[in-house]
Amino acid sequence: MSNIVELKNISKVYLKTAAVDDVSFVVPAQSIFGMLGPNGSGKTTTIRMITSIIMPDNGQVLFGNEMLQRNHTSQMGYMPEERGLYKKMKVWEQLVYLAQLKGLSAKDAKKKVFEWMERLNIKDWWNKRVEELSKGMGQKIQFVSTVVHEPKLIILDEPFSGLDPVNADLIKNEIMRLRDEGATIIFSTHRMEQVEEICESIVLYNKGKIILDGKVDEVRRRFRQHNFSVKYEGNAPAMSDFRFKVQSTNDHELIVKIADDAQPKDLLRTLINQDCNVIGFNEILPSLNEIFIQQITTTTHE
Amino acid sequence: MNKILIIIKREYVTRVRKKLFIITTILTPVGFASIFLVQMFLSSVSSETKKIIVADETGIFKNKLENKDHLEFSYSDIKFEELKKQFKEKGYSGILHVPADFNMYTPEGIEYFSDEQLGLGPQSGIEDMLTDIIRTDKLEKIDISPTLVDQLSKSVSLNTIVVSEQGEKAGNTGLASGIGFIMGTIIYIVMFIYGGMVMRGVLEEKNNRIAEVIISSVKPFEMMMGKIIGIAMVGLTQFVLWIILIGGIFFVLGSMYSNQIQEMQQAQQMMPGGQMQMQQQMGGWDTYGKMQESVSTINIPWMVFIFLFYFLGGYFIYASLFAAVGAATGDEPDTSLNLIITIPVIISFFIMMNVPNEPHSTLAVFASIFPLTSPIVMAGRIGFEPPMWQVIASMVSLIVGFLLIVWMAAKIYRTGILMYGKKNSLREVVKWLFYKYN
Repeated sequence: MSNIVELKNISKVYLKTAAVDDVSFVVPAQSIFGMLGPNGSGKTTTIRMITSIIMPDNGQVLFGNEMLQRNHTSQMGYMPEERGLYKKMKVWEQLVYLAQLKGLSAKDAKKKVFEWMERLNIKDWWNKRVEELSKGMGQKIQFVSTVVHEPKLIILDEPFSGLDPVNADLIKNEIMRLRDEGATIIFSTHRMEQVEEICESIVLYNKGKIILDGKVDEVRRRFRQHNFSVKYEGNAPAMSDFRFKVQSTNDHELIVKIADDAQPKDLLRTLINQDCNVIGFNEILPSLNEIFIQQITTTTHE
Repeated sequence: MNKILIIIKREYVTRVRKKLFIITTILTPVGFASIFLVQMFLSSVSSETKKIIVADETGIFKNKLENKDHLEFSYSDIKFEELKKQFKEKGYSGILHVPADFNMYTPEGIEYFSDEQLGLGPQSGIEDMLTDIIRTDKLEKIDISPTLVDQLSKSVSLNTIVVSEQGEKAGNTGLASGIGFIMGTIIYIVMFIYGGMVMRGVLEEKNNRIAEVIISSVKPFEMMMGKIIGIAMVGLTQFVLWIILIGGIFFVLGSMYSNQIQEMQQAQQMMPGGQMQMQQQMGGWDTYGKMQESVSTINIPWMVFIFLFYFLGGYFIYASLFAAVGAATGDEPDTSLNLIITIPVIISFFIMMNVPNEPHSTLAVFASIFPLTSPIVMAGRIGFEPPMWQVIASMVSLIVGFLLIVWMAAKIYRTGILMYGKKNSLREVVKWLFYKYN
């Protein structure tokens, strides 16, 4: 099985505005997939269609290789952006309840809930009410509720918001571990540095449409500016060739933009001809953040 | 286990375990019992016998006043002015003074002299006795015997007979309206208390944002029905516990204080207010035997069935409406949507109150068939034995209305539960009915 989720031309219209407009993409199995986009661009609506909360007006959703059915939801775990737990319920009862709704027996649910609480160092809170917990603690509980039934597909909407760096790292490692054990993770966020760090492929939403998709490295390469960082020792090289434009100079580093008709090896050759002591040479790819902002602004103004 | 059962269980267990539930369930019967005890205590305090000395200067009333209801009369020939000084020492609590110039045709001037106010009950008791004595006296003077008078003044009681295909049956207006009123009122209270509980539950889930987590596991309809059924069971549990507790408390108190209860009943009969109440309650009954006869004309299983049918039907219709309102409401309670639901409930309550006067008026018939009002109004009318076709029409329309309203409420619920923040106008909510989901 190569793809766990496949969306084919799905659309959803709310009161004449298209929340999602003819969107297609595939999520490869056992990967970490990023859904990016500004607020209100259609990410949550898409997620709700994948989780069967709402039905698309047009198009198809495939899960595994089957048409999406209601009972597939027991193989999914969804953590919405707006966290939700019963405030007055005890932590363990709440987790067991939510796990049972995903189809676990009461006994299994209890066993798994306690295993997870141990793993995330939250066992001491098992008998507390949610209202007694801090926001970050609640977040960890919510994470457990999302993964406790060992779903094949885990959908996390802004999973790190409100977590301190230590706990964010803990959750990040759990996400990686779950991926290694066979789960697929869909990640909806607008925090680009996290996406770059852990996602393998992404889609970028704007105004209900996908304006960009692909593997993270490939996307960054697609938007390359042909900027190279040259690190050297000794004297700075002279850049007289019109094909090489110096963008900025730092301490023993030049950022050079190579014109379209030149190759990186041409730049290297020029440097070596000058007898420059090059100790570092690498391409500077644009960050997803830059691509994101650039793409959103251009598509919005079109 | 089926998911809807898991939801029902959670809704039930979390509520039944709450301190407030336990407290109200226990305290309500205790409250009833304490009202009962206080009443009994008060009646035992006021039941000390008043000794009254009668200074009758005319002789009309001599030895004619009856000793009853904690009043004891003695007669004296001592001058009133003298008595006034002595009655305290002699242990009397008051003097009933009939002046010499008392004229029974213009009966004025009788006074009760005491250092403490005479209660309302004893006062009217004495007044009634005096009136009776004078009347008998006057009638004898024009040669009419008291027995004749009794026969003349006998009040008429109407035996209502209901003609139906099965033959004739004795009907009973008093009992019918009593039972109808109680059933209708219980249904009315249930709709508000437990319907409101459903609405608060939905609002909580919506505002907590847990609704979205749950809807990704179960269908919105299952979620809504699970809550409604769970809360229905909370209500039934509370009712059953109340019946058991109230029954138990009254059984214990009853056997402990059977004497006092009898006295209290007598005391109540003596009170003018109490007397009137009793007469009203008794309706047209003359004898206890007749009352038993009319109780036996009531088909108890049929009444229980009707009550449960309208109780559950009414609860489910209004609970789903309340659930829909909860889902459609934004972060703050929306009074206008709330009002749309509560108005028919209140209207049906008023129609039901008027049922005893006109049980078969067009309005009552219509309201007992229309599903938004029928649970309360039909419960109120059922004692008056409406024609069978009306009962069947009402039941069918309640079932159809129930299905329709639950379907509509479920649509509003599933759209509303995921709409955060803004307040939704009624127009928008109506549009949700036409959303397609599948």
